Amino acid sequence: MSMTPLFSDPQTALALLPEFTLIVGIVLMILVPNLGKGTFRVPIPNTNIRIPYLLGGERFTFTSSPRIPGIISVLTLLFSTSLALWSQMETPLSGSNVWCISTAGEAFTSCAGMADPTLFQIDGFSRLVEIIFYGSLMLCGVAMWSRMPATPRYMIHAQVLAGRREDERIQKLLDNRRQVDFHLLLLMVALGMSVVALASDVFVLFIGLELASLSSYVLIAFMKENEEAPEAGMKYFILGSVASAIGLYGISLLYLWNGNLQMSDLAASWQAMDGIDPMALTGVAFLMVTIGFKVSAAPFHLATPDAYTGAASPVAGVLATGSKAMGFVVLLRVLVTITMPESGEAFWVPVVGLLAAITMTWGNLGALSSNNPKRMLAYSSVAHAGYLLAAVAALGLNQARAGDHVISELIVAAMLFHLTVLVLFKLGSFLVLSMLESEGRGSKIEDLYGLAKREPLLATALFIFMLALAGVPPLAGFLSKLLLVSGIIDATIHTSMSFDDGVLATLQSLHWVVYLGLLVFLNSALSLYYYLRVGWVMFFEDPPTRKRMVYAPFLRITIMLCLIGTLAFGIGPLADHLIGLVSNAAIAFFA
Amino acid sequence: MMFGNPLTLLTLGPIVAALVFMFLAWACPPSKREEISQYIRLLIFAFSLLLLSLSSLMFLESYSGISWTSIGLNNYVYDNCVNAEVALEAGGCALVDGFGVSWHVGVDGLSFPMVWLTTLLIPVSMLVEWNAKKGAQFHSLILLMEGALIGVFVSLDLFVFYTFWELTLIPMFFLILLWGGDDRKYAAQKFFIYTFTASVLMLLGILVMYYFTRVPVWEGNITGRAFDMTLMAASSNQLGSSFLGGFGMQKAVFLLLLVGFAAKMPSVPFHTWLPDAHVQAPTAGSMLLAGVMLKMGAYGFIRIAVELLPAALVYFQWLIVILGMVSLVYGALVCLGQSNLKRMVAYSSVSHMGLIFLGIATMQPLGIAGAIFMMLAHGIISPHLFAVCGAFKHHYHTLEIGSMRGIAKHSPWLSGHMMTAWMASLGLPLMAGFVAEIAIMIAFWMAFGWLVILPALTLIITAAYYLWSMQRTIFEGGEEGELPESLHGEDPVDITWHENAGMIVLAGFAVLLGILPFIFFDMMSAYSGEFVSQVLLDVLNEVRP
Amino acid sequence: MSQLAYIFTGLGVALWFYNHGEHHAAVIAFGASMFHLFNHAMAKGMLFMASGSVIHEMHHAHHHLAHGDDGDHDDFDPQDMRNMGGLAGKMPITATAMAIGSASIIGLPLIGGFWSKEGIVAETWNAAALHGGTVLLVPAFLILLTAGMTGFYMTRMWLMTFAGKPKTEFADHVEEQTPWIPTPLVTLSVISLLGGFTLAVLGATNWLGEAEALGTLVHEHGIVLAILETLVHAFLPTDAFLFMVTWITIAISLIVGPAMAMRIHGGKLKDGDKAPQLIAWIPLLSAKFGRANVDELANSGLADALHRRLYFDEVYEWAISKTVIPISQAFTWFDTHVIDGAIKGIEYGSQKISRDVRKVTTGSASDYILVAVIGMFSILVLLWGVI
Repeated sequence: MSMTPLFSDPQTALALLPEFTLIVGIVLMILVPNLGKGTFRVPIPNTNIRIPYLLGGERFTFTSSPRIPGIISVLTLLFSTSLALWSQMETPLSGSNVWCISTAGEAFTSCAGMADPTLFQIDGFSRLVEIIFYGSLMLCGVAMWSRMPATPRYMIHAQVLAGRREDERIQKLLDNRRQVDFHLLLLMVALGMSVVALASDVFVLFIGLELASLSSYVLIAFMKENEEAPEAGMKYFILGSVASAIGLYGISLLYLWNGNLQMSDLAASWQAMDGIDPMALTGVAFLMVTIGFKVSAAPFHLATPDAYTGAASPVAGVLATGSKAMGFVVLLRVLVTITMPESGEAFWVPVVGLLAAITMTWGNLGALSSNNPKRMLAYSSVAHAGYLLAAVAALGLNQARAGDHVISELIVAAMLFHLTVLVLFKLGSFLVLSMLESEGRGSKIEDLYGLAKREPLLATALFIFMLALAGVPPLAGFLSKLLLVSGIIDATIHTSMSFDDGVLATLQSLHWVVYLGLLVFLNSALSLYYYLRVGWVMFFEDPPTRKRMVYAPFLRITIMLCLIGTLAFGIGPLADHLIGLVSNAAIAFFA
Repeated sequence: MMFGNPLTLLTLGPIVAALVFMFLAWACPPSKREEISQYIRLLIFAFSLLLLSLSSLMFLESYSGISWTSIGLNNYVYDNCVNAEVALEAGGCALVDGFGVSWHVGVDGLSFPMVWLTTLLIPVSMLVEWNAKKGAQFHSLILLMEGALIGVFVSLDLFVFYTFWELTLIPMFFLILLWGGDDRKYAAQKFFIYTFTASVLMLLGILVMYYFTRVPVWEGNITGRAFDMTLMAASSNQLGSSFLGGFGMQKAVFLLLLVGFAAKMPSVPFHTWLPDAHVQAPTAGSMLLAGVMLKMGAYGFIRIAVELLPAALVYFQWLIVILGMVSLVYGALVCLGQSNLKRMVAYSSVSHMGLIFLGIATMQPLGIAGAIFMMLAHGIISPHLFAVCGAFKHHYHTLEIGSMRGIAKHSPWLSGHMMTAWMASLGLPLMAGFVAEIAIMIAFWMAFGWLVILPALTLIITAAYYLWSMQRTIFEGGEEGELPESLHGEDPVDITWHENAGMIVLAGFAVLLGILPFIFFDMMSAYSGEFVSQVLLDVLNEVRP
Repeated sequence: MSQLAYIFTGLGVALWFYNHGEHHAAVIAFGASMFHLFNHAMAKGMLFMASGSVIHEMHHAHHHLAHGDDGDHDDFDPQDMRNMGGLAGKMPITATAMAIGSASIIGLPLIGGFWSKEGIVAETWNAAALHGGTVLLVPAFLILLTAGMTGFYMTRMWLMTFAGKPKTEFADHVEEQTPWIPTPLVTLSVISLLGGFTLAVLGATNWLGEAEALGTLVHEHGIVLAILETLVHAFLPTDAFLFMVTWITIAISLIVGPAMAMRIHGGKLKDGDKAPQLIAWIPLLSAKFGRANVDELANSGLADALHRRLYFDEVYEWAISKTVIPISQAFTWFDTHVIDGAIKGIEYGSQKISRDVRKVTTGSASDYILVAVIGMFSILVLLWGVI
C-alpha cells in the first residue's frame, strides 16, 4: 500500500484533516520540548564550527516549560474538534457526502460496491463520534494542564522537607518530561480513537481500538506517586488484554468464515447466510466480550471501579466518556452494521437485553453504598452503559433493514445524543473532582463535605451534573434518557401492538424489551439516591477546611462551560441543533 | 410572539428573576451581604406582588376581556399556539423541534384558579417567613418554585409539563435541606426520590401517549410525533375506543399516570413522604407544599388522565372511589393519633385530598366542580394551618400538642388564627372548605346513594381531631395555662405583624370564597359541565349502555 | 329538646299522613309543627333570658356579699336552683316573664304554645286511632306522658326559683337591678301571650297547604266569629274521641303535673315580699298543697341516672373509646410500620444488597478474568441456545 496518493490528493487530505492535525500534534509534541541549543560539530579537523540544529542540548526555557506539552495537546485537539465540527456543519456528511478511503490511498465518494478493500469511511457518523472523542480528550488535557506541576502540589512540600527535591530548573525539566509523556499518550489515544471512528474494515477497527486502549492503560497508571494508580492501570491492562485477545480470536474466526474483514462484505455475507453459521456466531460472541469490557458492561466491568479510582480524575473521565463511546462505536459496527438481519429480530437481542438489565442494576446498586466519589461515578458509568445497551436491544428489534429506518435511526440518534452530553456532565463531574485531587483530596465522600461553603459555583456545578446523570429535567441528561426510552417504546410498540381490551392482555402482547425501558426509568429513580447524597453532603455538612481551592482559571471556565452546556442542551434551540446533528449522524450510519 | 404572552411571563419571569437574584446574592461581597439580602428580599416580594396583580387582572373580566365561564372544553385562553398542528409545522411555537416539543401555554377554568392561587401564596408565604434570618437565597428559591409551579399549570405540552413538574422538586429539596427541622436530610431525600420514582412511571405513560400522537412530519422532526396535549385530546375525542391502539393500552396508561399523580396528591398508600416532608420543612416550604404542590397531582390527574382517557376513568371508577375513601378515612383516623401538630395537619391534607378523588369519581358536573373547588379551598386553608404551626414553632419552640394549654391568654392573635384555620379546615359553613365538601357530598349521593354516609361520618372524625387539639391548646389549663418545656420559663411573644398579615389575608380569602364561592366556582362548573356533557356522557353510554 | 321532639313528632305524623294519601291532614300536622317551632322559639328564648337574668343577679348578690372573704373562689354555683327560692318578690318582671313562658310551654289554654301543641297532639291521636296508624300509638301515648312531665318540670322550675322561702342568704339579697334586661323580657312575654292566639285565629295551622287560608277566617266572618270559631275548633272538636284526647291532655298537663310539682316544691313567699299581682297567686296556691317528703326519691338511683342524663354521655365515650380510638391507633401503627415500613425496608434492603454486590469486585485481577470468562461462556451458551 502506497501512502503517497493519500497525501497528494487534496480531496483525501481534506477528508482526513482532523487526523492529520493529530499527527502533526504528535510530531510537535515530540519535537518542541526537545528544542534546544543542540549543535552539530562539523568534522573538519582543526576547526570548531558548530552548526546548531535546534534539537537536544540545553533546552530553551520557553519550550521546555512544563506547560507547553499541555498547550500543544489541547490546541491540537481543539483544532481537530473544530475541523470535525465544521465539516459536519458546513457539509453534513450524510447520505451523499461520504468519503471512502481505499487501501490504495484513493478517496471515493461512497463505500458501497467497491471491489478494492477500503480502509476508512468518513461520514457524518464518524465525524460526530470523533467530536465526542476529541472533546473528552480535550477537556482532560485542560484539566491536566491545571495539575501543575506534574508532581502534586501537596507532595512538593513533603519532598522539599525530605531533601528529595532537586534544583528547580532540573525539576522543571523533569516535570516537562512527565507532561510530554502524558499528553503524547493523550494524543495517541485520540489517534487510535479516530481510526476506530473511521474504520470500514474490522481489522483496522481493531488496530485503532488497541492503539487507544494501550495508551489509555498507561494513562491510568500514570500518577505513579499514588499507590493506587499503577495497581489500577495494571489490573485494567490485564483484563483489557484478555478481553482484546478474546476479541482478536473472534475476528480471526470471522476472517476464516468470510475471507476478508471488510464491514460491507461481512454484512452482505451475513445477510446471505442461511441460518447462522456457528463460526460466525462464535466470532461475534467473542467480539462481544471485547465490546463488553470496553463499554463496562456486566460481567466484564469489574476492573472499572478500580481503574477509575486509581487513575487521575480527568483520565477516569476520558474512560467514562470517550472510551465508552469508542466501545459503543465498535458495538454498533459489529452488531448493527454487520449482524443485523434483513428483517426480523436480530439473534443477539435476548443477550444484549439481559446484559443491559444486569449492567444497569449492578451499576446502580454498587454505587448506592459507595463512599468514594470516584468509585461511585465508576459504577454510575456502568449503569449508563446499561441504559445504552437497553437501547441497543431495542435497536435489534429491527423494523426493516431497508425501508422504514425511522425508529432505528431514532435509537442510534438517541444513543449518540446520550454519549455526547455524557461528556458534558460526566466528564464535568470528574473535572470538579480533579480540582479536589489537586489538593490531595477526592478519594472519600468526606472530602466533598461542605464544598458549597468553600466554592459555591463549583458545588452548584457538581450538583447539577449529578442531577443530569440522574435524569432530572430540564437538563441534558433528562433529554437523552427520554430519547433512549422513547426509542425503546417506539420500537416495541411498533412491533407488537395488539388492539385488545384488557390491560393484562395488552401488556402481555408487548415485546419484553419495553420492560427494559421501565427498568431504565426505575433505575434512574434508584440512582437518584446517591446523586442526591453528593448534593446534600456538599450543601449540608461542614468542610474540612475553609480555604479556597486552587485557582486554575481555565479549568474553572471549562467546568462552567460544561455546566452551561448541560443546561442549554436540555431544552431549547441548542438541544434542537444537537438533535439535528445526531440524527444526521444516525442517517449516515444507516446509509 | 411567544414572549408577549402573559402566561409565559408568569412562568419564565420568576425563574429568570430568581436566578438573577441568586447570582446577585452570591456576587456581592461578604461584608455587605446582610444589607444587600434585605434589599433583595424586598425586591423579590415586590416582584411576586407584581405577578399577583398580573394574574388578578387576568381574572377581572373588565380588564382582560375574558369571560371565564364561557371557555368550554379543549379551548384555552392566552393560548399561544392555537391551531397546534398547523402552528407546529410552521415552527411557531416549537421548543425542541426535532423531538416534537413545543412551548404551548394556555389556561382555562380548571387551571386558572390554580395559577391565581400560586401567585397569591408566594407573597403570602414570603410575608409569613419574613423575619427568619434566611438571606436572599431562601426567597429566591421560593420565586424559582413559583415559576415552576405556574409552569405546571399553564403548559399544554407534556414534555414541558413534566419538566416543570420535576423542576418544582429542586427548590423544595433545597428549602427542606437547608432550612428545615432536625431530620431534614432524610425528609428531603425521601421526598425527592419518592415523588421522582412515581413521576417516572407517569413519564412512561406520557411516552406511550407521545408515540400515538402523530403529526405531519416537518423538517427536522426525527420522530414524526409531538407532545402537544391539545392534539392528544383531539385524537382521543376522535378515535374513542381505539385511541392509543385499544382500550387495554388506555387502561394501562391510565394506571401508570394514576400512580404518578396519586403519589403527588398524595393518596394512600403512596402518602408516607408527606408527613416527614411537612414536619421537617420550613414554614414557607410547608405552605407551598400543601397549598400548591399537592394540587399539581390533582390537576394533572384531571387534565391528563381524566380528560384524555375518560373511558379508562369510567372503567376504574370504583378504584378511584376506593382510593379516595381510604385516603379520607385513613387520613382522618391516623390524624387522631398524632401528637405533633404539623404531622396532624399533614395527615389532614391526605384526608382532604381523598375527597378530591371522590369528587372526580362521581362523574357528576357538581362533583368534579366540587373537587376542583376543593383544590382551591384547601389551597387557601392549608397554608393558613401551616402558618399557624409555623408560628407555634417560632414562638413556642415546640409542635407537641400535649405540651401546652390555655395559650389564649398569652397569644390571643395566635389563638384566634388557630381557631379560624382549624374551623375552616373542618368545613365550617361560610368558609371555603364547606362549599367544596358539600358539593362533593351531594354529587356523591347523586352517584352512589347511601354510601355517602361513610364520608359524612368521617367528617365528624375530622371535626373531632381538630376540635380536640384546638381546645387543649387554646382553652384548657385553668387560669394560667401551661407553657411548654421548650420555652424554658420565658413568656411567649404573640405573632409578629407580618405573620399576622399573611394569615389574615388567607383567612379573608377563605371567608370570601365561602360566602361568594361563585367567583371561581362558576368557571369550574362551566368546565366540568362541558366535560361531562361533551365527553363523559358519550363514554358512559359506550362503556355502560 | 323535649319540645323539639314534639315538632318532630308532628313532622312524622304529617309525613305519615302524606304517605297514606291524606293530604289535608298532612298539611295541618305540618302546619302545627311549624307553628310550634315559632311558639317554642319565642317562649324558650324568653325562658333562657329570664333564667339568665336570675343567674346574673344571683352572681351579683354573691359577689356583693362574699366580697370580703374568699371572693370568687368558693364553690358557689349561681346556676344551682337549690340556692335560690322566693325570688318572686325580689325580681317581679323576671318572675312574670318566666311564668308566662312556662305557661306557653306547658300548654296553658289560650296562651301561645297551647294552640300548636294541641294541634300536634290531636293530629297524632287522629292518625293513631282514627286512621289506622297503630304504629303511631306509641308516640301518641308518649306525648301524653310528656305533656304531664312538661307541666311538672316547668312548674317545679318556677317554684324552686321564685316561690317559697329563700334557701340561701344570697337569694335573699337579690335585686332586679340590671337596666337592660326587662325590655326584651317584656317584649317576648307579650308575644308569647298573645302571639299564639292571634296566629291561631288567623289560621296559622293551615298556612302550609292553603296560603289563602291565612286570614280568610277573619276576612270572611269578622274577628269575633273568627275567634269563636277557633275556640270551638280547639276546645270542642266534633269528633268525640278527639274531644276526649284534648281534654285529657289539658288535664294532665295543666292539673296533674303542676299539682305534683306544687306539692313537692311549693311554698309561700317570705314575709314582707310581695310578688306582682299577675303571679302572686301561684305561691299561695302551691302552699295549699302541703309539703311532700321526697328525700328518698331524690336520693335514689333513678334520680342519679336522670341527673347523669341516663348515662348517654358515658355510653358515647365508651363506644368511641372502644371503636374509633383503637382503630385510630391501629391505623397509626399500620402507617408507621407497614406502609412506611415498606419504604424503609426498600431503603435498608437496597443498601444491604449494594454492599453485597460490591463484594464481587474483590480487587484481584484473576478474579476479574474468571468472571469475564464465565461471562463469555454464558454469552456463547445463550447465543447458541437461541438459534
